[in-house]
Amino acid sequence: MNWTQFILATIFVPIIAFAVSTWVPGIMRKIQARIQMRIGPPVLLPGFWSVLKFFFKKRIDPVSPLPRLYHSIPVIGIFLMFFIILLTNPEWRDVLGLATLVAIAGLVKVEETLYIVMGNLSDSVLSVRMPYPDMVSGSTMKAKVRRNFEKISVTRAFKFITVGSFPLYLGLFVPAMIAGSIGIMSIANYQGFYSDGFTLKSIFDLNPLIFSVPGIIGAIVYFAGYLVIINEYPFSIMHTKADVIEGPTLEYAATARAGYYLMRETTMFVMSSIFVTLYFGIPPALSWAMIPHVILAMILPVLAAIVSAFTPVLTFRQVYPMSLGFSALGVIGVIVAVL
Amino acid sequence: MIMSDTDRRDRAEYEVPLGPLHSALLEPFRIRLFVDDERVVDTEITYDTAHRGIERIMEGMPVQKALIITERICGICSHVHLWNSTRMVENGLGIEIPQRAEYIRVIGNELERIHSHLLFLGHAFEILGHETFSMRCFMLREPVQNMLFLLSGNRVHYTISVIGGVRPRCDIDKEKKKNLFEMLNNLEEGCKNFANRATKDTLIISRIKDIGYLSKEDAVKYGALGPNLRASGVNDDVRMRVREYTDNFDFDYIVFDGGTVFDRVACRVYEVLESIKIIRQALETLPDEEPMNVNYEIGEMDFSHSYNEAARGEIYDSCALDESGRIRNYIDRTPSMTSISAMEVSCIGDHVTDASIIIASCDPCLTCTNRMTIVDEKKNKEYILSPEEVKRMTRRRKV
Repeated sequence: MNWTQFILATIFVPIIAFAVSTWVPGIMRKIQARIQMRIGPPVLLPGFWSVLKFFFKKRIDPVSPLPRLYHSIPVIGIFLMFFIILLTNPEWRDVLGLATLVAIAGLVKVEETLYIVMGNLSDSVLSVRMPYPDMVSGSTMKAKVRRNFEKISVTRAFKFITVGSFPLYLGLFVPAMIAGSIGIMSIANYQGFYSDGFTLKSIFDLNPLIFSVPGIIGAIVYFAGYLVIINEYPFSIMHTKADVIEGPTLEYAATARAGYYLMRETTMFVMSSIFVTLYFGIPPALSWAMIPHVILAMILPVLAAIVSAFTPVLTFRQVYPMSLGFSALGVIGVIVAVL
Repeated sequence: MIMSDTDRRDRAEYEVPLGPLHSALLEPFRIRLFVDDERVVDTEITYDTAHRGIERIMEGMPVQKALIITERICGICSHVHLWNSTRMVENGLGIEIPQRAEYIRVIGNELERIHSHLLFLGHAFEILGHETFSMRCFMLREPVQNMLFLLSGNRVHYTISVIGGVRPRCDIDKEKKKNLFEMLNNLEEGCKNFANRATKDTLIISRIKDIGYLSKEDAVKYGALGPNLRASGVNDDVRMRVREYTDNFDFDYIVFDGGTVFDRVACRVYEVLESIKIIRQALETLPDEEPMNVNYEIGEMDFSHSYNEAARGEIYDSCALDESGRIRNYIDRTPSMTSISAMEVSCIGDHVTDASIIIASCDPCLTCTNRMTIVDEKKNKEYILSPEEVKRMTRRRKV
């Protein structure tokens, strides 16, 4: 292992991911706005300037049983994402044997679980705590428990973990079945990527999996899972404004909200980055490979923006069959890959 | 409340209170959802946070001054309130109205219905999370606002009707008519395209079909009105009984049988097209005469009443005048007043997320509805009248 390369990659890959991810929400919002015949915000506004603005807002303590933990969850989420993108970096291939799809799947699961913790730690004023004389105007207690919005989001987050994210994991493992390995770099190497001596011209020598039948099936399934993991329309029932408003993130304000925005945009970029590594065979190496990697990593956010502009928020009535359908497609992808 | 207390306690796992402050509620009201595994088993809607005391303000005011206050009841259906209150006084005093004025009042009402329905659709799609359709509804609504501006000089409170006819500034000359026709043609094309898209989009339909079911019997029992009633298969429209409509215009009453959110949405979409038809007929056959009869006298009037069809359903106005023409016992009932129980019952059995769209699909206008809080000074207690109590108070009186 080249220690200099390793240290440089460990420092700069997350920095690059962080910098690029600040553009992602702006690009998505701009595309949605154009579809809706609006001008839309400046590209850097939603991902960068609004984050910066929230850092300078007056700090408001959340109503939470564990406010420090509640505040620190976005930071944990951001570092999880940095860790995931590092695992897909060629310099990290030998670190504790972690650069595998199993490790990535596990870390993504932790990321999903964060929403459950968030929801349980949030207790906003907008439902149970709103001072309204329901209980003193002669009415009786009509249910066993009074529950606030965030707890409903927790239930939804849990349902998503169990059902909604199946397509994502199937999408992750289709390349493994094709390449015959769960190692990230083995999958990239299978597609012709070698970090030593990689130039921009080398892109044309690659054989991306996405151009194969199981690859395209896997990519479609991964995209459905991507929409679920970033909680974007149509799979944003956890955050839907129709009832739970912001769901688990309702109590985040000022710095904490800035942190949540950063966590969300980092997730958007990193999950897309994994897609590029697995399906195009270009990992986020600290070399010329980073340029095509970043460009290709915009594919999923752009597609997500287009899909979200044309879809309503789906409830579990639609999510269950859709998840089942995409999971079945993923299984077909796996079978085709084995064959 | 629809269920008995025992049933509720047995079935409801937890309660989710929403509002009166909530991003999905355009107006302040309280919803309590009693839920079992994200399925609503019972609901309770309370609306008592925006009392304005309009009827009390009007008491003792000269009728010419007072009627304009009825327009301020609502910012969406302002014209029909003023028209109906004016019509009620005109009926009571036997004042003749030029036919041209009747046509212009109808045009105002139908334009108002279009913009109200488009506002409803924009809001409904926003709740569904379909921003593109929501924006499109608001884009379609903008020319309607412009047409109302062209007709009356205002975009919100138009003040078209006045006792004896319509205000001279709201009269339609040749240039105005030409522009209105042009705008109406563009609007019709846009609305037809939208109706075609909105009622055939599979994802939208999967969200709104088969939820918020309100049976024909329940719609009648719980007092649903307007499009909510017609979407449950009851062909009832006050316009069938309003002379200004029955004598002059030919149009269809949109009735759907399903009673679901889809039917309530589709009913409004197609009513927009019918309203366009009525406006076109009114503009084509607009009588050539003065739009105002100034030969009338205001004096004592026994209780008079008038019904009309607003965008959300039946509205009712009633009052008497004393010998100097001052208002006595003004009563104004808006359609949302009786639709609230229907909203409660239609939520039952559906997902919590769907509750917002189900309530919104009944198109409540609660700020208009909230009229009266009873304060008992002796017992130091205040309470809100139930819809049933209010209905009893607004029952027709013999003239």
